[in-house]
Parts: sequence; C-alpha cells; structure tokens
Amino acid sequence: MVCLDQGSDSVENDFDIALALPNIINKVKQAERDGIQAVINYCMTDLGSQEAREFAAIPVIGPAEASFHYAALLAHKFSILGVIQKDLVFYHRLLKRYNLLDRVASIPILDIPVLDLLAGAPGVLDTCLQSSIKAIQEDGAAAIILGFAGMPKSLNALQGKLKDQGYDIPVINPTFTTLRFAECLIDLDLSYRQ
Amino acid sequence: MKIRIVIPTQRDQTTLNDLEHNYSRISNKNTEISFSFISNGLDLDRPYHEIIPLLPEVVYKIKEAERDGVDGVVVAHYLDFGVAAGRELVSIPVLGSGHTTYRLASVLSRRISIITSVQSHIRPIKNILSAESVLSKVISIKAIKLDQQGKKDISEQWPESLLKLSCSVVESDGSNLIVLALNGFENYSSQINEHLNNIKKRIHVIDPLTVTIKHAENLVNMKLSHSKITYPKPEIREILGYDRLQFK
Repeated sequence: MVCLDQGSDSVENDFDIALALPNIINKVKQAERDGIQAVINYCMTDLGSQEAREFAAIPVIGPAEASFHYAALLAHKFSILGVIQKDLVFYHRLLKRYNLLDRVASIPILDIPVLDLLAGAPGVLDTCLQSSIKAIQEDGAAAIILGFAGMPKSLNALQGKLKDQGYDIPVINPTFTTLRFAECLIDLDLSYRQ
Repeated sequence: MKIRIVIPTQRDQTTLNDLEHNYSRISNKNTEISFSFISNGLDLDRPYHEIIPLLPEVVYKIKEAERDGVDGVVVAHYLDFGVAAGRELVSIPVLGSGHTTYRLASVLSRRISIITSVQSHIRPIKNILSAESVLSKVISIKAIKLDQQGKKDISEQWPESLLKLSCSVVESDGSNLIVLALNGFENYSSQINEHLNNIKKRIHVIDPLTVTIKHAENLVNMKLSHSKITYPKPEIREILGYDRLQFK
C-alpha cells in the first residue's frame, strides 16, 4: 500500500483530483516496474484509473467501477451512499462513463466530511441505515453501495441491520469488492489493455 | 466453499470428468466444485424455442443445490437459463455465465464481439446485453456457420470455423475482446487467445464459465447474494404439475 506524496489529505472536489492525478500515474508506473500485478486506486472517484491504464499494462482498478459491477450483477437498481454534496457530481460522471445511469435508484448524501467518516464519527451506522431504508422505500433501491473507500468497521453490520428490518439486499463494500475484483482479473489473466 | 455448476446441456461422463479436472484447477484451493447436469438436456446447437421447455428443470437444480448445502450456484449457459427464476427460490448466490461475462467484458472493453453457435440465440443474447446496460459496447454478435453439405464432419468443422470467425471479428469488426458464448468449447478460449497473440493481436478471449466461477467464489467470500427486492420469494400457492418445484 502506498500513499501519494503530494496533494490534499482527502479527495472532495475537482481541485483535489487535479492535484492527485499526476502523482497517481507515477505511482501506477512505479508499481508496474516493481512487478505488481494489479493496482487498486483507493478512491471512490476512480480518479486516474482510466488515465493510468494508458501508461501501464497491468489492471488499474477503481473501487466505484468494481462496486457498480457487483451491484449490477445482483440487483436491478442500486443506491450509492454519498458522503458530501460533490459526490452527486462525481457519481453522475462515473455512472455515465460506465453506462450505468439507468441502474441507479438514488445517491443519498450523508453529509459527513470524509475525514470525520474515516475517523469513525459516532452515529455513522445509524445514519447509513436510515438513508438506506429511505433509498429502498422511496427510490426503489434493491442494493446499496457504500460510496466511500476506507469506511469505518462499524458499517460491516449494515447488511445485517437491513435484513433485521426486512430488507434482504446486498450491501457492497468497495474495499472488499475491489480487492476481489483485482484478484479475479489476475487469476483470469485479464487486463484493460488489449 | 462449495460451488455447484448446473449444466443444462448433454454431457457424457468423460467430458464431465474433464470439466471437473479443468475447473478444479482454476478455482481456489478451498473451493469444492460439483456438477449437476440434466440427463435429457439440450444438444449444443438447438434453436432457442427448443430449449425453453428445460427451464423448470434448471430451476429445480438450483433449488436442489441450496438443499444440498452448496454455497453458490453457477448456471453454465450463456443465455442465463433459469437464473432469474432460481434466484427467487434460493438465498445463496446464483450467477449465470451470460450476464456475468457480458458485464465483465463491458468493464474491460468497448469493442466486444460475441461468438455463439446458433443464429436464433442472438436475440436472447441481445436481451441480456440490454438488461445489463452493456449493448452499446458490443460491436458484433455472430453465429458460427457450418457447412452442412461439406465433406468434413460437422464436429471436425467446429474448431476451424471458430478460429476463422474469431480472426474475422478482430480484423473486420475491430474487436479487442471476444466472448465465446458457446457450450462445450471451454477449452478453446486459450487456444484462440494463443493463435491471436501469435499473429500479434493482443485480444482477450473469454471463457464464460471460468469467469463466472471466479465471480461466484468472490460473492461467497464477501457474503453477498442477489437482492431479495429484485428477486423476492414467490408467494406460496398451488402449482399444477412440476411436483418437484412445489412450495413446502
């Protein structure tokens, strides 16, 4: 696991993306030189994933793309729990890019600063539970994607909590899905570059 | 982890043994793969309307897999035969090799070609591609044409025709990823890959069953299954016939 050498401490707007992008490409190039078989770009904006693929033959995987992939396999509509208002813009762009705009039920915004979320702010599980139930009941969601990488451990319980409430639906954790997806591509000897 | 592969086609014991050997090799060490096939199943290249009557039997096999304590089910047919219905009856993850592979292909490429065995299967394949929102990334779907009057036996024509069509979708259509929507040709993807790479074409040729087994393993590992909002359990009611699919 490597961190960027330059840029902001969280990605919350296009300015942060602009600062991170050159560094991400360098990190991917370095990973390939180091003999790494796949790179996970650990940010739900999938920032730099497509751009980095121009520079490296190994798969460069964004958590949003991997999470959308599994959600679309398991449900006809999914909702993404966004963290900040700007996520609406980020996810709209990504869903358009991946041609999945018609599969999204809603993007409820939790309105919690990213760093507070990472620090495990109190009540996050309950906020996510209430937002998920609203997305199911009002927007027609049949699966939930946690719209942030590096979520607090407490959210592992969300799928079970929803089931207790009578909603037996998949809750996609980008951290796990992206790692599994990367392993899958390596095992199958597949990459984005043909 | 136990994965059950439901094969809705006719396979002899030797072929099944080969499949078991091949897929045990590619699956994870802790994965136990079992096969379930329909004894009076389909021929490889029956038209679509002729294979529809076998749907209930596939659904039964999915239900049986859950009863047997299996963790995940793969339906080894590129038309996702019985997957949606089976998902309504069970809680364990059920994946069809069609939608899983077409989705993965769409993540990797915008110039996908699909090669299938029967012309009448193209329409149902297109239906799946539409439902999965991946149709726009597919540049061609082609069925292999065999020379019924030719000197060579039909079975001998298959590998040659498959290779020829694969080269053609790359050279003429500009495809950079090929999905082999074929039953019984699981071993050919690597051969075609090798051939295309030899002529300096870096193309992925995807075997749907391999892809789907990997995805099933991932779902089981991540404790994920299909949504019960999308696939709710049917209400208990009387069903005429189909004794083995009665709700208990």
